[in-house]
Amino acid sequence: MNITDIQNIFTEAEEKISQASDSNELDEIKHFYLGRKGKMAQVIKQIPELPEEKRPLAGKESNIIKGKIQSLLSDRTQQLKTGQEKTQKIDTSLPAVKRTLGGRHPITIVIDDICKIFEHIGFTLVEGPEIETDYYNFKALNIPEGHPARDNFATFYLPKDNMLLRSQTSPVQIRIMKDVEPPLRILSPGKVFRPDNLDASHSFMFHQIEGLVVDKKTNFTHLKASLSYFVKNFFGRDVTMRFRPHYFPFTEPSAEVDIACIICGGEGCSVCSRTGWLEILGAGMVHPNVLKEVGIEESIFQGYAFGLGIERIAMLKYGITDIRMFFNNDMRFLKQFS
Amino acid sequence: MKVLLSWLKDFVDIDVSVEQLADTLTKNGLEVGEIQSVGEDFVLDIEITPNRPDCLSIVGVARECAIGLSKRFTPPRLIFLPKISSAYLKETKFGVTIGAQEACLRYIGRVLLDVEIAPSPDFIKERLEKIGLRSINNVVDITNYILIETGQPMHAFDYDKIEGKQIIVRFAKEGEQIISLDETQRQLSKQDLVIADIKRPIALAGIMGGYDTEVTSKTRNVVLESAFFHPQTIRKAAQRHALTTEASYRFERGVDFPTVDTASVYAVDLISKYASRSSNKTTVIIDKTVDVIIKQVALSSKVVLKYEDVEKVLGIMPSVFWIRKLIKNLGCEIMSVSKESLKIQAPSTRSDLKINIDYIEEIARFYGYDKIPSQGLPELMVEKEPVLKNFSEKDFENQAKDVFIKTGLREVITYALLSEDEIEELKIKNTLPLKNPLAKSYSVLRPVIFPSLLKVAKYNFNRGVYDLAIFELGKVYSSINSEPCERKVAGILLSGKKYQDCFGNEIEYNFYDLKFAVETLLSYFKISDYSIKEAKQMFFSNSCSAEISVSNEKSALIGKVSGKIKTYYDLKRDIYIGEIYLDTIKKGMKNVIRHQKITQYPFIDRDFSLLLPKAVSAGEIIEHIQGKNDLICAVDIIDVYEGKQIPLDMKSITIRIRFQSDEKTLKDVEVDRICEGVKETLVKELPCQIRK
Repeated sequence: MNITDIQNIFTEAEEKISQASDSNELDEIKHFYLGRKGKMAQVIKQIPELPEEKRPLAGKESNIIKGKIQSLLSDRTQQLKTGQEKTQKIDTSLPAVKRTLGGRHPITIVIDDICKIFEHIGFTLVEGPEIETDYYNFKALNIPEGHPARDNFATFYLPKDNMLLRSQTSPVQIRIMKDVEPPLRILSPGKVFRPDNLDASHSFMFHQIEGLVVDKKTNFTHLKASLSYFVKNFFGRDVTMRFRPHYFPFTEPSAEVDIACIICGGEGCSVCSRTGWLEILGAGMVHPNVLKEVGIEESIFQGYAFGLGIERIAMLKYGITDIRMFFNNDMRFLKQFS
Repeated sequence: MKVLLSWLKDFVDIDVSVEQLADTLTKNGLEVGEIQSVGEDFVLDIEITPNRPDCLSIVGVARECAIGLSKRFTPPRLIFLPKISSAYLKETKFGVTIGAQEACLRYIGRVLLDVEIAPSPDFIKERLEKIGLRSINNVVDITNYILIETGQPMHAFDYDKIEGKQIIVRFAKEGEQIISLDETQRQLSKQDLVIADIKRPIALAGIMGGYDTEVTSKTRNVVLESAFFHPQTIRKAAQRHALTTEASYRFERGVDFPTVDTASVYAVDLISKYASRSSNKTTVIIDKTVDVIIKQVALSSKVVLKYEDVEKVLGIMPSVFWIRKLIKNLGCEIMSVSKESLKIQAPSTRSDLKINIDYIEEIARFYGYDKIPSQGLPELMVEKEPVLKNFSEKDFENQAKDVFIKTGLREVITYALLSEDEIEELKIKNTLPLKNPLAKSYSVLRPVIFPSLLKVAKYNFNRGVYDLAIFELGKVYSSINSEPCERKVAGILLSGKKYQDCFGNEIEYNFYDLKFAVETLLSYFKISDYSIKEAKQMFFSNSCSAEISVSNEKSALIGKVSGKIKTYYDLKRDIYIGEIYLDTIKKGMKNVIRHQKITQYPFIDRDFSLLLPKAVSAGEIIEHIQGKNDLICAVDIIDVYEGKQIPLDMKSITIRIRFQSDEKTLKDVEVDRICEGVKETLVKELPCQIRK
């Protein structure tokens, strides 16, 4: 036996391995060459019989050949496996399984986003009833009898005297102030109702968020800070905003907050009625008459309140032009938001 | 209000661009909408808030401009009635009687003789037309011109057409009618205030004159009316007649008591100049003035404005000098001054300046909201939070929403109002109808949430969307012992396919998906004490409806929508629907979670099948097995079979019982012994037999 014999064994094995078509055959080949009584074992057994000077080379060569056969075997095994996968290839372009997915309504998404921002600066979420009394919805809010807001075409009334569907979330302020001693910092989202015929921009049911802060030193600069914080976080750091004097019966001084039109950037377009500004919320210092009414000492405490309409904000945020979309609940519409 | 720029310039020197002016006005509280250019002039559309009736006039707006631009305000010049030589006086018959004294506090009637009705002078005509008012004739235009400039509405009657030459301010009588200037016949009600002569109403007071007594080209003599009508009375009447005019708009908000007279005198002056028939063509003859004052409108009481209050509310303190100047520029009188305060009297035009805070607002407005810094978010008052938490439902609600969304449901928000017809169909009593509904289809508050969801299904079905899994968290409303009540519920609707792939596998929603949603909610809130039983409800099909109770309180209704309801809503597909009363869930929920140790010993399952009558429910079997032995840790139904090899009125149910101990590894013999025992009791207690 010499080195050439060892190399011949390798050539022979190499051919057999490349022709093997399944793992059984490979197992047989492995057994034949590398088994305990296999060809390589026999070769190694013969090494001591070689002349002494040839022994080291033969030993070394045998080991190399053994290793080569081993790696050929495992390569071929791998090859065969991959080949099998190839035959079972699937069409990945077929459609995925269809299942209905859950998600939040866009109005809820906007309410949650707004609440989160205010919760960061210490507001607590509270809730009030949708069926209200004349007292909470109007009288306590410094809206006297005969005020246009109390008209039949501005508020829905129930058959029982003095009962109505709240036309604003502000009655929650009154309920909280009557129940909880200041300091107070609350936020109250909810449904409100007004007899407006349904069209692209009116709805007899919509959502508002009301905020209220009452403390000893709360002043107009704090109102500005809270609302700026909200606007920057909701509409983006770069948004231009302005506070403009306005009138509400339950706050004084009152303000409306505008942002530069997010559609035209302030140039003037149909969304902002060519003014370049979009009104997004109303606010003001709580009117002393309101504090008096709920029994908060107005010489000690003062506060601010604000309110905003969710649908309007959502329409601006998502570029929706018809408020009725929110209540039609067309799945093709709702799926776009979550 | 539409305001002409050049008209403002009669009273204030404006030397900035119209855009800058608009910006200033807006910043000070008179929001300018669109600016329209007319020739070389501009019309500003200004939103006047209801507290500022004084700004429904050029003069009022001009004063605001002057303060905002730091310019001098030129008040309207004082006009005196022209003197007329007695030779002209004809002792004309004319009288005014105010019958409805609560509705008319002042009425001035002036008889002007020998007027010549002709087109208006150009400056009047142009100004009116630029702001969108139609020019009619000199006399009518003059009243409109003064209305815009001073805010005081006026009306001119043809004197010769007034029967008995008497003006009577009274409420209309039942059945009376009037043809108004817009040539519309109007039926009057007892609440309508009218101006009448001795025979008939000749004007709808404060809103519109009558057609019969209108000033025409043939008119020679006029009665010029200027009055103070009660705002509420005019507002109600304008609503009743769906007629809002420049006049009614101002009376509704309240006109200025002294201006009632000065505006009238101003009109006489202009009519003298531009509508005289007299020989020298310069004056008309004022033959008679009747000024009836029922009650003076009092000035607001004086206010002591403390500087420290300004700083307390606004967080800033402008200079005292600036404040005093502002107060004067507003037209107020400073009665006295001290180191800490000012005593102020507001002018009659500013009836909105009643208390301290009203002046603080004026200071803030003109100081500039933008200049007030935005600083120091108020400190957190942590100790208050737990108290308020008791009011909060939001956390609970948000968690419930999350559970539904995770089970594949999409949130909807629907109108809370239903039609009367739906209520009738649903046969629900003690509902809450609205007193003043907008439309029949939205006239009753919903007593249950199903109809709203069914309408969502209908809307989507009509658009080819048939696979629906939706929920709504909303309120339902009813009258309990004639008290209106609201209750928060969750509604769920399932219809169509819940799973589909391209290998022909399709699964439709069924009753058990609905049950899954409810049970998932219960298990999320750690509610284990609940039971499910069949329920009869008219919305549900008899064969498929259940009521779930938590701690023996009705907490949910679930089922398949009945054929009758489906027909009513014109729905042709199977729909599963549920309503969950969230208050009962909230009451039953367990807040405290205690960790339970997980056993390290393996479980052993035993399956066996029972043959039993169809009427026996799976729930009964489970009830009979649970708790029979401490080592039974779960009982499951893994197969229900009816059909071949099973008698017609029977079914086969396969049960899997799981045995596990937290102390040792169970042995087969032990488990077999317990399982045999369970089988024996089942056969004894229920009409069933064990299938081999």
